[in-house]
Amino acid sequence: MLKQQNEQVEEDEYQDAISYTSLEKLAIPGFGGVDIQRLKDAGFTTCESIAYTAKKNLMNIKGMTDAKIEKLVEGVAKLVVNQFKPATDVLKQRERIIHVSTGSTKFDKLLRGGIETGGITEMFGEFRTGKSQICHTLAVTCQMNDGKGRPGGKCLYIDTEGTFRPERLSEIAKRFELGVEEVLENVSFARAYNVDEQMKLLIQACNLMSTDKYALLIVDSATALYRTDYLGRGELSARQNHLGKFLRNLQRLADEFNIAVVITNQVMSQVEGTMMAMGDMKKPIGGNIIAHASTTRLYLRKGRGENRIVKIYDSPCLPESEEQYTISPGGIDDCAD
Amino acid sequence: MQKQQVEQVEEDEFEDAITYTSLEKLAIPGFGAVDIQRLKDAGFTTCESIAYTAKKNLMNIKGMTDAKIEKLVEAVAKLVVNQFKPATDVLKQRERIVHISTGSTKFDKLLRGGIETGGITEIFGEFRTGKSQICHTLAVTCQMNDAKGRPGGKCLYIDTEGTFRPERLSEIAKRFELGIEEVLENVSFARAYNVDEQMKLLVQACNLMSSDKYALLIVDSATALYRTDYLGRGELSARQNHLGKFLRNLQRLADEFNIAVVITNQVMSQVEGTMMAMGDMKKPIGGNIIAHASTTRLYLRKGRGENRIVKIYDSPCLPESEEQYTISPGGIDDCAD
Repeated sequence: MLKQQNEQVEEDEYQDAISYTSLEKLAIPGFGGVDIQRLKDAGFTTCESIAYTAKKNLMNIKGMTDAKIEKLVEGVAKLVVNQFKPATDVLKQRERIIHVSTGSTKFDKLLRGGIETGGITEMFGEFRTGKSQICHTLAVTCQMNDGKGRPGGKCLYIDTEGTFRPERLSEIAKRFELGVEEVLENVSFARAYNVDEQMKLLIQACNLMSTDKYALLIVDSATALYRTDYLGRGELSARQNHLGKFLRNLQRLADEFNIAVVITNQVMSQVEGTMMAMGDMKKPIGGNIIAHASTTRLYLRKGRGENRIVKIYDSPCLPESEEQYTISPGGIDDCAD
Repeated sequence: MQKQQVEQVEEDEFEDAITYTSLEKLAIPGFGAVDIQRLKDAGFTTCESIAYTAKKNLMNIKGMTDAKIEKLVEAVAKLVVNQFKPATDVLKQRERIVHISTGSTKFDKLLRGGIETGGITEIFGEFRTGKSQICHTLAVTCQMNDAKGRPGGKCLYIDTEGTFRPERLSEIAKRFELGIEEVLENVSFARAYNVDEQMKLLVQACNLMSSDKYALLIVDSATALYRTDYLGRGELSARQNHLGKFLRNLQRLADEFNIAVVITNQVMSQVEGTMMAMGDMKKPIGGNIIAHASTTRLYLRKGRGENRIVKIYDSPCLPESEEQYTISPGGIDDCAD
């Protein structure tokens, strides 16, 4: 009896946690299982994804006629209603945002709780500043309950640089006293070898996220492959277009499934000698496309020894301030003062 | 009977060791041996190489029409499937990584076993710090069984500075009590005289690696020719583009054939007098392109007498620590305390 109650509670919690409307709830005449499968193969697994996409982009789905798209959009509009609402409701909604801890309490405090769900957080910095280390730590902390006791979720890890080390996950899991097997099982990993694959993996991600509860999607790094797949000024616009599309898809995933999206970015040196009075500030690559797409941008640089410094570079609601953290065997941690 | 069993076991081990899918497994109507030869001439000798390359870069292959590329990419997608998998599987995969010993047990311990396969290890330091000596030692140790008893493989040595000395290989082979003739046979050597040749040699390397078992690719040094083939600020972006493409090809080889790639890098002095409180730390050339492309970076500097000090400068999973080693007649070795 108790076990049944527990299962029922878990079922209810799971239902509450779902922020999207499944495609099966659509009841459109002439729209059958085959069409729903075609939508899923193209990466549209929820009603929200249809609602969030412009109609002209839906026309590109294989096997969909114009008439079907019309009926689909109408059917979705009845289920997913987008209306004006007072900002008080929005504030209540924002209280439900989950903050994924970074492992360092000061870093979390800088971010007022941790990495937010529902937006793209970009981290950039030179090599050895700890970008991949933060990603590994987040892959473990996202599975734990957050500061307010709400359950975590699984993690999707897309690696483009070959820096994924499951051994680090084991070490971090031990620090937080979690079961190593379980932690590793909850991280779904894929390696992308070129920019087309990087984009296609997001379609798989949609399908995975509609079957299980995911809390975090990491792309480390989002821009590395673009740097070498597109060369020179002639290909610059093609590169930026592709990158913009990729980031748009990431934002759609963040909105649809209420997950946190964390991407890392590389930097370039500024050779054209502008007057650098503030020390060696590196410039992130990707230009304005990625600058505007990221909700929060964090700049990492090296401090003394194992310490690193994180600075908020761009955020809708956090002031530009700095904090120190360190890279320890157990992931990201506070500095030993 | 016994001999047949032994031969069968060797056959199975070789089959297990192969990590790639040969092009001959493709069964595409209208795609014959001539087309497969065109792919091989362009450096694509396995199905993985096609899968890892963006479609727009495949269009550049001589003699390939768009229609053929489409069919090729479809057929390869059926054989080489890239899906999300749990980190537990990745951990098991990483246990199969071969570690190549450097010759010094302490140096190996610093790297948790040795130089890893599947990634690019960059070694940089001033002259006389032992970069070429490490390369010569690795060219011999890669042929031996590793610490877990797995068989080694051949070595590809690309030399750009004219520092290759087969006599050193003989001396190192004697130290490890291996047959000199055999050791020298297993090292395939080529000298590159300009940056274009350096890139073209990788196409040859692909073909060599798909016919025999190679464990290691050494490029000594990867950046020397770039320093003099591209001069001045005007050519800087062209240089970085070319270098980025070269490193991307190296990474593809490492992933495709599961080999270790070791590159050496030169250093520059920092003339613009930033405050160097930590002694004379030299800066590696190549900028951010090579910094982000290398999986592991090792910084070498001179110690006392024949001793040298290696420091881990950037690694996904190793902490920043130092170790001493020495250059002996038999290659790299532990210091005589």
